[in-house]
Amino acid sequence: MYEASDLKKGIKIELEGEPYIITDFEFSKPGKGQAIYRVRMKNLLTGYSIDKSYRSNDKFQPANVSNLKLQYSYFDGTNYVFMDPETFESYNVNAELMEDKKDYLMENMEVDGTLYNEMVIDVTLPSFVEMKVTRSDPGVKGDTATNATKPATMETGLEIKVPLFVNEGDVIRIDTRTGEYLARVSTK
Amino acid sequence: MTNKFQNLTRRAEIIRAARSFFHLEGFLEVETPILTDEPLPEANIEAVKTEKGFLITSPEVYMKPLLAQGAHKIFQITKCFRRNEHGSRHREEFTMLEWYRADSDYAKLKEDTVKLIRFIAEVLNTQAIERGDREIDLFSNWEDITIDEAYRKYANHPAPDDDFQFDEEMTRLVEPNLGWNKPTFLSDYPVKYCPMSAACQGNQSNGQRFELYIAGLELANGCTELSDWEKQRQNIETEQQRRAQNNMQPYPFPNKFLEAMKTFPPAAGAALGIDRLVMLFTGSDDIQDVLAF
Repeated sequence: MYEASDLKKGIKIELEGEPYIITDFEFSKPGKGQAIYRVRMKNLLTGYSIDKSYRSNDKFQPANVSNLKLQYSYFDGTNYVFMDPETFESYNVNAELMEDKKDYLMENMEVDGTLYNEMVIDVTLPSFVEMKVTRSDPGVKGDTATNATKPATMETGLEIKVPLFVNEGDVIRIDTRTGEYLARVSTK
Repeated sequence: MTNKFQNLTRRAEIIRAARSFFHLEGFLEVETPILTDEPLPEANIEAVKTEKGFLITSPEVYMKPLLAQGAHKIFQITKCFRRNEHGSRHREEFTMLEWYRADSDYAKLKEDTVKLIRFIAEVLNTQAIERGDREIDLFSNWEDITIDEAYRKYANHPAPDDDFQFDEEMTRLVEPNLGWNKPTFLSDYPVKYCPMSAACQGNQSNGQRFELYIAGLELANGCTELSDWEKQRQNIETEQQRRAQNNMQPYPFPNKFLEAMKTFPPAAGAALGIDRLVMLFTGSDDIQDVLAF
């Protein structure tokens, strides 16, 4: 159990059956009045933030939230299946949670998972991944404008813009946070 | 931190100026113990306990008996300690300027406060407190509003009866808005929030207590002291009971203090947080920035 005075940024608590992380914390105390603990926290399931005020004898249950390394295995048609490489335990992650991330997933890719009551509630991809280009039309001859790009499709189905010199079969590095091409790692 | 020694220099200038002010005004500077075996009970302030007794939460417990022994105008700059108070405006150990006047009242203390802060500003060659993009002129007329006016203005209703609501709205809606055009006195607290103050002459349900705010920062607290001895004893008992209800550590009953207070004259006393005053004059947002360690 936490008391209000134990709260600080980064602590995760359970509130009305949902996990929250404290993102802002302020102690205030008017003159001879009681201590007021003003807390901003983010719901780890919905991402929404709320503000609350507590008194010093309020108590909080720590949220059963932990982080672990996971390895991507496969998509079973409904869920993305990850495995804890140490215990070989597998975790199903629903497709909705992976909507923006699924096109970066490659077999055996290591990701950071957040567990809440033994359920994966968040997956953080590595910041950079390397992927093979499976389809891209050759750059148009004579198009010499700097920074010119063309569409390319990766082995996972991900589509991004790449420079004209990138060819099918090249391996390129991509920033997963922005979805941008960073560099060519090797050519066919 | 690059500003550290600039801030510490300012701090020293402010403390020296505050001392000069009270010496020039004819106050006697006193030093009283920091350790006490009988802290005065307050429902929302917890003392730090040591193996030799408690550290003072304010020098009140010794300065008032000095008045009872015949001192007339006294002041002190001392360390005080309040357990579990830490934040950008709080430290468990902090520096307090406290002063008392016999045969006086809180209106006189407000005058002292205005003169003191203007005196310090003049020494620092400063006209105004700068806070963000605001300037709070210290030399125009200061604002003075009652607790009830403040809640009506900033919370859209009269001061609430519920203690938690009172404090929660005070810190969220009222305090952040006080003292931005000019320094603001917040006056006449409900008596339950000033057990050691005399009641107001008009409305007896309020006490003659004020707080000073500049740029939303609470800076000083003062009151006309309660001089009715029996009432004082009762209020101390009530505070002891409220502490017990709040599961706070038990204190011995302050018998020595009450014994000394039998000859307490009509008086008024105020306290000002030195660290916060330095924050204002140095533009610091965090109390840590004005401390040596």
